[in-house]
Amino acid sequence: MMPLELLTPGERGEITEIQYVGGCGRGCHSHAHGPKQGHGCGLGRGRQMENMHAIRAEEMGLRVGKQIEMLSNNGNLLLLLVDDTRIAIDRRMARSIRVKGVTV
Amino acid sequence: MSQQKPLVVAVAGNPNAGKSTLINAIAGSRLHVGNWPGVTVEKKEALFDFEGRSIRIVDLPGCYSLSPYTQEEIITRDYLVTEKPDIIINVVDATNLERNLYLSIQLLELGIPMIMALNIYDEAEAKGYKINTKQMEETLGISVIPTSATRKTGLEQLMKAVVADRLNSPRTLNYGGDIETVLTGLGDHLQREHKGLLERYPERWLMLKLLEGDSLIFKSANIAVGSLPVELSDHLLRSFGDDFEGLLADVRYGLSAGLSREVLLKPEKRSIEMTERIDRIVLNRYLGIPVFAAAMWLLFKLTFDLSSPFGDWIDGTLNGPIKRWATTILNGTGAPDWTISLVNDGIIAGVGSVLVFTPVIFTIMFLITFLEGSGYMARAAFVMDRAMHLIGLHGKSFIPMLLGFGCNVPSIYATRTLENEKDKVLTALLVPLMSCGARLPVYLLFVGIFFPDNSGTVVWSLYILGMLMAVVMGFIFKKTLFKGESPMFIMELPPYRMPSFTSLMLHTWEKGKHFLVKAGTYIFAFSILVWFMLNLPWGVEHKRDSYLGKAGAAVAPVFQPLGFGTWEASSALITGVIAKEIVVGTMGEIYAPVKEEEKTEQPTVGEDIKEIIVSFGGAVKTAVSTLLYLPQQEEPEEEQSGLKEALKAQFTALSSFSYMAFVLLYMPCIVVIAAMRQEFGGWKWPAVAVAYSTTLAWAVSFLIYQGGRLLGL
Ligand SMILES: Nc1nc2c(ncn2[C@@H]2O[C@H](COP(=O)(O)OP(=O)(O)OP(=O)(O)O)[C@@H](O)[C@H]2O)c(=O)[nH]1
Ligand SMILES: [Mg+2]
Repeated sequence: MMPLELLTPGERGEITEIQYVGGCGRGCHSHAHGPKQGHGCGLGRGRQMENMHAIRAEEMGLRVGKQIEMLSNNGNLLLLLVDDTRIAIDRRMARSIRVKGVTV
Repeated sequence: MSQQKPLVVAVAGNPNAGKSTLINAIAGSRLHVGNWPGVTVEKKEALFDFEGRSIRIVDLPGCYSLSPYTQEEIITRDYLVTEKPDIIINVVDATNLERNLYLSIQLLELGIPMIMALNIYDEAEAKGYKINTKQMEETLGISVIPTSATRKTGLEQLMKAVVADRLNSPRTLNYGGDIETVLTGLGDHLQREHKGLLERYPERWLMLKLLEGDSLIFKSANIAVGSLPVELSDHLLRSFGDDFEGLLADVRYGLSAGLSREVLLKPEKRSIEMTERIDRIVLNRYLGIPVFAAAMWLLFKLTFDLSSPFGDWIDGTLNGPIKRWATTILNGTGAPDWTISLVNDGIIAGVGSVLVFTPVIFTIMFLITFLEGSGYMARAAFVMDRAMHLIGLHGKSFIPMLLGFGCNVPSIYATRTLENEKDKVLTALLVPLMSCGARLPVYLLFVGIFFPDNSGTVVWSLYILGMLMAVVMGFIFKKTLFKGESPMFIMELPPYRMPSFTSLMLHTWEKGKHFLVKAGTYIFAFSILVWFMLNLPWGVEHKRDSYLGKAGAAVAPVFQPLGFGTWEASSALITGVIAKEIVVGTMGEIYAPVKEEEKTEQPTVGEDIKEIIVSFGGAVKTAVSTLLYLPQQEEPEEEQSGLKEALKAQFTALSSFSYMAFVLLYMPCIVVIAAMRQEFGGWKWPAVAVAYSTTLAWAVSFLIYQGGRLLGL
């Protein structure tokens, strides 16, 4: 387990966790793994603005369990290959994604 | 048959899946297409007939899910859930099945009949993908038809499926015992308490949204958040925790991943694609920005080299034969002298001096269309991200700006793809600094006179100047009006594609047409108005004493320190606030040569026509040989037109550059102002744009002119 940022170009990894930043004080919440820690936000709270980025990332294919390849990792933006699509994300977003290394 | 109400077909799918291309191919429409996500930002319609059935097909902005994230996605979601189209064509990018299916599953929940177009099938085949469409049909309960919108394959079958009355029973996803129980309970509750809602929204979709707690839905459905039956929410909370939305998403992800695993067979080894190779250079940390700058330079070089011979040809034709013919015809009908002057010195000089630049506009629109179709737009956003951070925006804002080089108006609407209001407004405020096609005529007029040897480079430097000013102003705005961080960045970079020649031509025409229409309508009208303003009060001896001349003379002192304090230059700036080409049109009229008495030997019409054709051939030859860098025989400098002569007398190279910079930067044209007002509701931001840009223009021109003088230019 390591932050996505640590992959160098050409390296592959599998996403193990996408942290939701902010939210109702949960700090961290991963989608598909681990027990759900409900803090009673209650229904009808609506989507938390802070989480929308993570949700969008998942909708675009960056999900727990997905294999990714780092194509470019310098400057503020990273370029990832997921399912044959290239997705650019910024470093802030990358920090909320953890991966485990995969050998090709 | 024809009395029937048209079948309403909504086209929905992920961004860049080829929805607009597909509609263009089916309906013969000319919707804007481009190879980056977020081209369509508005609902657009096309009408056509298929097998005797009239069909209204609706293009929608692309979306990744039905939980909108940006403004254009809200448009799509709202249309689908409230307008209830008869059928949905779900356009799916076959090279990206799993992600696209996630949306398809949500679309199925709307309970509207659906057909799936498995588009970009050609690329999927080229990659060696094998897709079992039969099995997809069985699992989803809808027809799945492989299509290629660019090669126009599968379209016939697709439309046949759309109009067929074949039973279409979209499967809905079963979310498992607990959730289904709650859904049933909620359904009963809605039946009892909110019957009206069920008529407005698709039932299952509404219930899921309510459980997810989508605040937009609670608002528009006008339900108080706490009013759902407590036992339902308690039950859910107990069994699933608070992240119910995440849970539903997981079920859908599971299904889309499972389905794509079952139906899609990928070749073992992934080949390194051309796209990756190009990206290694284009997105390279050190090469990225130089590559962008070089591409821009090439753009202007090509534009200029290719089009200026044709511009000269139009110029020669209008000022020679056309004016002569007009005079002859008007004389023949016994029209008074002043109408001849109105036609020649007003309309032909005014509209004509703008029309001269038609070839330039079309060339640059062609190159921009090529850029849009190639896939480079998204890369430019990537490369420029760092620079955009200086001004508190991120790279995505660069796409509307880049589009602004064609025309600023669509750029204002393109800001819809940005995530938050601050980014939208700030980007829209900076867009007018991107030099649009309408400003080119002004540059080209001056560059041709004062910088004939490095015209491409001077024009390019003006574009760069605009971009630098965007950075400066963005920085100031960031420190004053728009504090706060930019949202996180996430964007898909599509594969590079080669736009087809026919689609290039078509979309170039769509963009350039706008310029011609403008020339034919309000530039035409304005030319007439300007002519009157230059000739009233009736019988003025000198144009300086006309109304426009007096107005120009009144503001001229303001421009004195900028190097162009003449009434002529000033009045052209006054009329140019309508549209910047009018600056050139007005100058054409102001400097229209005073009548030369009694030309000897008028050429005959036949000679004229021959001359037009011969000179056109000459223009083609010059364009081709410049393009191929063939040596050209020096032509003797032909006698210059009155406009050029007059400008030479009034401007220097330095003051002409200062003038061009002013035209580039000063207040946006009225259409842009109207677009801003519409997009941001109110006059506040348009007013800010007008105020800051005019101040900026003055300051920059002042620096250029006075700085240049200090340097002894
Ligand atoms: N090879 C191939 N390319 C296609 C096909 N259909 C569309 N394209 C290309 O895909 C790109 C996107 O097309 P658009 O029609 O603009 O996509 P859209 O779905 O309307 O995109 P948005 O408006 O951004 O949601 C363009 O470059 C098209 O030329 C296809 O069937 N095959
Ligand atoms: Mg589109």
